[in-house]
Amino acid sequence: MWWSFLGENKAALLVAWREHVWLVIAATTLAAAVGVPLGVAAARYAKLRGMVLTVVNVVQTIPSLALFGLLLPLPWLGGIGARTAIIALTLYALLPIVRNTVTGILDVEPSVREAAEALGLTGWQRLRHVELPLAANVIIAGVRTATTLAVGTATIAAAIGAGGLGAFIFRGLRQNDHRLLIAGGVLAALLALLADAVFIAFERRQWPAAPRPFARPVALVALALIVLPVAWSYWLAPPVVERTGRPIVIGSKDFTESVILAEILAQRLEAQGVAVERRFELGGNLAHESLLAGAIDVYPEYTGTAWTAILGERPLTNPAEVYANVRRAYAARFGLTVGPPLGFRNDFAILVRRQTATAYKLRTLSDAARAPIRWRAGFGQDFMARADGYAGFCAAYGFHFESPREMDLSLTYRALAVGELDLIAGNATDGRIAALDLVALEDDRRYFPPYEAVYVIRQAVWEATPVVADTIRALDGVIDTDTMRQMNAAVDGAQRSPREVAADFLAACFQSGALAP
Amino acid sequence: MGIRSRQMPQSELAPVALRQVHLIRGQTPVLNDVSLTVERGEIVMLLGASGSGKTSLLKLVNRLLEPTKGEVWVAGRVTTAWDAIRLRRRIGYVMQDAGLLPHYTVARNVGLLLELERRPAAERRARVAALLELVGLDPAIYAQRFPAALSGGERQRVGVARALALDPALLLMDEPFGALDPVVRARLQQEFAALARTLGKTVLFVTHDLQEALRIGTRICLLARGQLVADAVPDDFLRHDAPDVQAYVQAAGFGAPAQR
Repeated sequence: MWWSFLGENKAALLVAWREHVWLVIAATTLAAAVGVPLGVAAARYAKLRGMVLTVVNVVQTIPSLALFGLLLPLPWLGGIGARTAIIALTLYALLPIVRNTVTGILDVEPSVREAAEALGLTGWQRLRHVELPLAANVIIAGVRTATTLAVGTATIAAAIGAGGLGAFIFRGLRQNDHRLLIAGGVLAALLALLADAVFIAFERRQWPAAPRPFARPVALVALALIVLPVAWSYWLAPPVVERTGRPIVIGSKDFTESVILAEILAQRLEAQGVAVERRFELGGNLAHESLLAGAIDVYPEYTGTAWTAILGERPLTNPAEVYANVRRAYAARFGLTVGPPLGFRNDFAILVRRQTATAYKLRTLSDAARAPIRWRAGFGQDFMARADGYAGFCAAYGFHFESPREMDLSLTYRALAVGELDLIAGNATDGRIAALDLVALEDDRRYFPPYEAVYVIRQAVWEATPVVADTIRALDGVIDTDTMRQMNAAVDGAQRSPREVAADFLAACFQSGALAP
Repeated sequence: MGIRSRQMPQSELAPVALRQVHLIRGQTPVLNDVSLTVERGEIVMLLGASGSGKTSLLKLVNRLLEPTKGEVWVAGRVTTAWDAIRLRRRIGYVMQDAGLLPHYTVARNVGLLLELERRPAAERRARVAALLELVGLDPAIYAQRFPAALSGGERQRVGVARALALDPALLLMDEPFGALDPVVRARLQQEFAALARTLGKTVLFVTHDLQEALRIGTRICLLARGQLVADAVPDDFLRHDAPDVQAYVQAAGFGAPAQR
């Protein structure tokens, strides 16, 4: 199983390794180039020292997604992709380098420092002949720590579209696929170990030098093990040269459905000769922030999310009202155009096993509330917490669950399938509903707010490129809930790529005449 | 007072001259109205207990410190008019634990200033070898050693060689032999006194050891509480009647001056 998995994902894993290695090299090199001079200055000027150390310390405490959000809108530094990730990783790598440089220099024997001054060495000469060589070991140890840390933190680079091994880890978590998770995690750990081993060659020199016969060979082998996969990846999958000229940049959130929807739009535009750049799988709220910053032009969103999470309004239940409100508020507040609904909704869906539904003749949620069953229910943390979630749902239908389980959303599906739970709240378009033979009960009291899928696009692009606006208009209502569910299942269950699934969907649309090729 | 009084008409031309120097570090007065002229070829011992201000006085000469009030003259110029780096390279400096750079060999330590002055490599090598010979170290054995592989006495010899590299007319010695065992110390004191006289160097030598002052110096100045309380040639010093001198002499175990 592992062999075939590695065989199928060889190219992708090697590319992720390559991206990861470059991120770490770029970030630690930059951090050393900035951190060592900063540390030298801080060691020399006591007034500067406190300030510098405080700043690099505080930077460490900024959560990575927040740091990405802060960097995104900045000119030169920001945007989506490797640049922002490198800046963020550099900022995180500064602390050990600056701190060790300061410590290393301040720890130089006072008599040696005084002798150098009394002999008449200039400031630069003292730095070059005394302070830097004597602090070198401590400084290198700092760079070593920074490198190992950077290998770990670089996994979050995937959240801002910079790739790396983190993409496998995130995908594995989302799709509940242990192989992806383990492959990403193990490779990242391996890279950290190898990077650490490379530094053995630079380690503690004594005067006179103590013989260390194994240091160099070990470091060289480690370096080769890092570099060879990178070289192999260039041979297997040369990097795509990005087209010049301003392409339409399409973003997506970091889950399967969002990627499929973004891919559908990308392929429609490409078919009409529009240059497209894909910036998929943006973590957290970064897709929206990227759109505001102009780093992407369009991405798929849900009206319910836009209304409650982004605009911060109270949940509404009428889909047309939510859509109209979001459209108006987005135009006024953000300068964003909301395209027509794609045809399906990804609402909360209350799910039961098919036998349960058949045995008790359950079709609606009102049926379920009346049925003589002691429900064992389980819900994801998100559903328990949000304004349009658990509490209102129970009140609307008169459910009284005895100690509902709050657990990971993915796990509730499995627990329901194996009979540990009888009722869960999932997502209406989840591929697992079909795969696990579950039944979604109808929300007959219309409690759940609507989550209609729409494309959100920057007004400037909407107006300046009619072909994009026409393409999005043409996709009005073409995807029904069942179709979306099947596409999700094809990716999450059958392990097909979003690209293939989107292409199949478009081909089917042409055949049925829903879209003109 | 029995202090041999010295006027300072020639002080601008003397290797070192202090004129009514006051030094306050932080809130603490360190030197209080010190005047002192060192003539060419003299070996002046600055004697005093710890905290008497003798090391600070030394640091005023190569501008590691600057006087709060008064003037320090070196080779005809006030120290503050000197470029500090130029000034320090004209003055040899040797300190208590030698302050050798641990990551450089003996040869590179001794030749460092020659290297910084961009002297050609061949000249440097020859000069370093000659300097090591001069301080009694065989270059063939010692040149490529690192400081960690030297004894305390050898390290001080290297320190002296390094101080002599640019052939300075003036040497500042800050308790250079203070941490050595008595036998080695006595030997180095003798050798150093002979060397300084042969080379005709002017020396300002800080010590707390009266015996050392008597052995090496051509003149002894006693500092107490930041003031110069005695200034005499070694023969007169033990008979000096200032109470500070008597206290120092007795504490050093020399007994009453009359017994001498």
